[in-house]
Amino acid sequence: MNHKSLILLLVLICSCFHGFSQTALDSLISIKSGKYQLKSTLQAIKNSGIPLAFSTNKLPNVEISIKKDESIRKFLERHHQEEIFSHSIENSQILITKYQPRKFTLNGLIRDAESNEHLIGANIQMRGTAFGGTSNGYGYYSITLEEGEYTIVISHIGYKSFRTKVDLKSNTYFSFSISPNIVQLDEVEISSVVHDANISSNTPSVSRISVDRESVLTPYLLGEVDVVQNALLQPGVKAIGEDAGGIHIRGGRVDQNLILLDEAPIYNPIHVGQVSVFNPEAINDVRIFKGFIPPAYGGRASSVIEVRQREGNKNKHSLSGGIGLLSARVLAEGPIKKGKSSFLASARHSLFNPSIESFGNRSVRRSRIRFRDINLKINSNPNEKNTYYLSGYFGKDRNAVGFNTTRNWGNSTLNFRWNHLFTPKVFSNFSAFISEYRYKVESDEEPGAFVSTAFVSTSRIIDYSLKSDFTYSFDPANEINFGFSSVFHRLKPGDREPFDVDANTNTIRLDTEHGLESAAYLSQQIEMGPLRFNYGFRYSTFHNFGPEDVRVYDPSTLPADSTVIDTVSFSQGELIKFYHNFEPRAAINWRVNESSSFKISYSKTAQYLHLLSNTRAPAPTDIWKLADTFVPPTVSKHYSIGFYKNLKGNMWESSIEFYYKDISEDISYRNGADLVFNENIETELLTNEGRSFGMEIFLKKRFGKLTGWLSYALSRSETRFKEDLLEKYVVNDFDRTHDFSATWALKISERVIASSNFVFATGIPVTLPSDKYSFENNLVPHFVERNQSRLPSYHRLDLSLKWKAKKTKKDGYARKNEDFWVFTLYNVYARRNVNSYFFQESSDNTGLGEIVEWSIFGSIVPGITYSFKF
Amino acid sequence: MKKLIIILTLSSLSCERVVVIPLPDEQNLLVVEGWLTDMVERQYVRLSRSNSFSGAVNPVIDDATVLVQARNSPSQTYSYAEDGRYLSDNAFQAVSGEEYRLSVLLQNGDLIRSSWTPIESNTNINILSVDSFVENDEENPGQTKVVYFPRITALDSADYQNYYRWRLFKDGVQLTEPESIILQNDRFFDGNFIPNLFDDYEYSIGNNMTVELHSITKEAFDFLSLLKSQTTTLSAAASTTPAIVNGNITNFTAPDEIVLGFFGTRAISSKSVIVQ
Repeated sequence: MNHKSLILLLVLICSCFHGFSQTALDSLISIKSGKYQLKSTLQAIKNSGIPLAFSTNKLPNVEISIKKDESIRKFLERHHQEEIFSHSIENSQILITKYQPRKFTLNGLIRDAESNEHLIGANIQMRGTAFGGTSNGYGYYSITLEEGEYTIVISHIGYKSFRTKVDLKSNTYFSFSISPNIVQLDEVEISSVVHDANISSNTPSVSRISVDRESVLTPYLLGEVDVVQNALLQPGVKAIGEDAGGIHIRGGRVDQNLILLDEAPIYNPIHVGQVSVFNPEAINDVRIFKGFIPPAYGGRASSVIEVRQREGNKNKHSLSGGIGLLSARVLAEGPIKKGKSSFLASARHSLFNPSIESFGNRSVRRSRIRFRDINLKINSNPNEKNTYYLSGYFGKDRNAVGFNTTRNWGNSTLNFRWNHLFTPKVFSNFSAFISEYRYKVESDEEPGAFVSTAFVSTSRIIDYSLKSDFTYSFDPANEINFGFSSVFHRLKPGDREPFDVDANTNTIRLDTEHGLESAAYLSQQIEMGPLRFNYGFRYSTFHNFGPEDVRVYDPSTLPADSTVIDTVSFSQGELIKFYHNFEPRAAINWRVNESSSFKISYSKTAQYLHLLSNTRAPAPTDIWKLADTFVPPTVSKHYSIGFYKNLKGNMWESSIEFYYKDISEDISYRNGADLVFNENIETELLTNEGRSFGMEIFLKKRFGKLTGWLSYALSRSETRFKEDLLEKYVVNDFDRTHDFSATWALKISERVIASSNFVFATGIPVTLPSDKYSFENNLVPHFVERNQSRLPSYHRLDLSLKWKAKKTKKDGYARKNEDFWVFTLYNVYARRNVNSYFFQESSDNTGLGEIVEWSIFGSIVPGITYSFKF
Repeated sequence: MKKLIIILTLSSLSCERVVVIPLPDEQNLLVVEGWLTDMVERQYVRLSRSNSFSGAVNPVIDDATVLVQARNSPSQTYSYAEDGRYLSDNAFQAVSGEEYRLSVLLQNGDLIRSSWTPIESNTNINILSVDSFVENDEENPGQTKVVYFPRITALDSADYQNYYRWRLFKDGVQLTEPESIILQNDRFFDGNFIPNLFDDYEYSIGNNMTVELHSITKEAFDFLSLLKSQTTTLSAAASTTPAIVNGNITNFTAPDEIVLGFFGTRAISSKSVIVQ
């Protein structure tokens, strides 16, 4: 008998047994109605030919009743409900046991009642019990509970909490729709149902930015609202200056943040200054994992910034948008098939080109900056078991430098995801995406100070990725997550070609780098009394493939052109270098009482690609570099501990956290490193070891007329050369000892909200010259010790006023559209915050040095934006 | 490219002012500046000391013994002239295939030496021509003026990596704006004509236009690149981080003491033309 027929036979046998017990269940009881002893009744039923199995000493001595014309099924069910005994079917036998409550799974989606969009991180609580959960990144939840009646309360930031009764008698698919909060904030029902995610969550150190139209995102410069700007007001998130795009999280470098837009990585999240590529109109939710990184994420050493795009309204079509001094944006959304599928399309474009004239003798003459973003998303939820998403982002920046050079760059992502429910308890997600970052520099004529004539140079990194994630929920207190991912990185460090083939310049093509970054993870989230554990591991591997010619250097010294002893050629697909890392992750939440908890966590993460940038802040034309024979992966170990306390019925949230982060194989550069079109970049690199540690305090008022938060971080981030462990640590360029922000919004009336934002931070480190000297009549500053001093402290106050148009027309009818104005004042008391010092020769006295302090903003900056929705 | 500061701002909003801030203690380090050329002339070396960044003009050293040694030819002695400059007692030239080293004996007995350095072969300027463009005359609104600038034809050698430095002179005075150190390596044009565009260096009719093309060593190129990065756009977010400009000079008596500056060689090709 072959395998197939054996399997078929087994299936047939099983179904026969199954069929047998099913027939038995539907047969009528052949005992006359009346009251009898339980055990003797069961024996009588068994004697009548029904395959009952029971152990008499485990059943209670009680009297039961037999009803006329009752089937075995109804008889069993009735006594289960009367809590007398339970039954189950095993191997064609009906097994009778002592009464045990049965468990069923309640699962489904949590949606916005108006738009039908799925809500991420909404809270589900069974009133009067400790059971509850939150919806996942796709709005899906699953809770397994004992049968019975429950009052379920669904709550979410910016939404009215919703309460309903559910009688759980079988596995139930139940999707909830909750309405956005349009009543005044202080009218929201305040009760124990207001969720306390910061206390109960077993993922410590997560900053969450909820981006919806009603919540008050702090307007920034020129009235623009921006995700990055808001992130910088969270403890532990810093930037080097107003002109510097990158963000540093808990002492990490700019390239150590994994920035995901709908799960696809974004390599450069910044357009210009601190304006991010995330169009606030199209964004739903932002989570920043600063400390504990769940095992599902990996590939960067410092943090994860997860940005989710909105899905689009499934019920009605709408158009919204806005215009400010910096950009204009528009978003269209609506159902494709009502209630089942929807689309969202948005575009944003910069409006005017901020420009700077030359200052001093620096080579900046004129810059014109332009950017645009396009976000697209289609989703379809044809049935309970499947949801499909197709999302894309296409960004483009064009930036003219001087008269003849333009720089174009941008991220693009295209991402397909499929959510599938295998069973109510098993949620899965499959993703496939392409993510690309590219830049192009075009110059028709470059100034003589630079190298050549007309050319175009390009560089790009492109990722092809497949990923799967599975969640298995045993019960509300026990969940397992596992998954796999694989990213193929194709990195073209640079091509440089003349416009004109007859030109004097040569075409240069640096070798393309190929790498395969794969990972598998497994984790469990389990609750044991007051303790919640979230632990697991991620195993990551990295293969660096040919074709490539790899130099061999004299091992006794640092790589340099003069120390090459051989060159090895690798053919296409040939393995050049393999790295792997076992990355354990663990977090424990000890819930001390209803309103307070302790959390402790450990994360190890490995990073297999680096952004090469030897300037203080990264430029869009910096190149990425995959780990290879010479450049090892960066590995970080992050420890954190925190205490969380909520006050006054969760109206106030507070926390204090301490962390220590240890980073090995951090990349740094030799003095005067030449990173432009360098075929042997390893000769310019050094490896460092770094560490950062600090304390973060956060206090937030979540509802009432006045809402907002105070955030304070005391921290240090420093590095030293790996070669010399006796050398002392030097603070990093982006270190700020104190970092404080106070962000408040006051609802003055139904139509007017005033908000303020105050920030204070220690100045960033600066290297001061001890001496000056003259070389060929150039005044040269001489520096002794790096970063030994600091710029003056940075502080600033911004004010803004949001003014909503009336909701009703003059004739009393409600207006169909809604719109509002935002007026902002940036740098209200016109502080000249010092951005940097220039050490230069005095223009009046040749041979003498002078220190020039430069501030980006020396005055108050007003701004205005208008937003609408039809 | 990075030296171009890209910031989101309005020109009227940003501001600059000269400030006085406390600085680290001055080091008073010895600074050496010296070049040997392939032209028969009295070669120079300049010795000075660094001093406090916000202090007076740098002091010079006028009492040192200066000597340039060659591996296969006699040493050349130098004598003090003025402003820290020492001139060789005899006119001589650096020749290809030879290596040179600077030795300085200070009054305190410290012996200072450069590393041995060869001289690169000369790359000829084949043609120097005058190009021009018309622009609005800022001094006379409504008027236009013609601006002249040099166009140079010079062929790069394909055999090996070449490093170049340009110097432009107007009526015998070196032009230092917008850049006083103009460097090129042949990474992008190996074996081709050396691309150049000097339209920022303005000449008028009647000016003597002189262009020098220096062939320098990689060490000299690296030194000058670093020096240039440390004197131009230091400190803004898009600029390079401050660093010590390492040269090729060592104090043999006190090896821990840093000596700043560089002693190098340059093979010079020069052409002049009167703008007409």
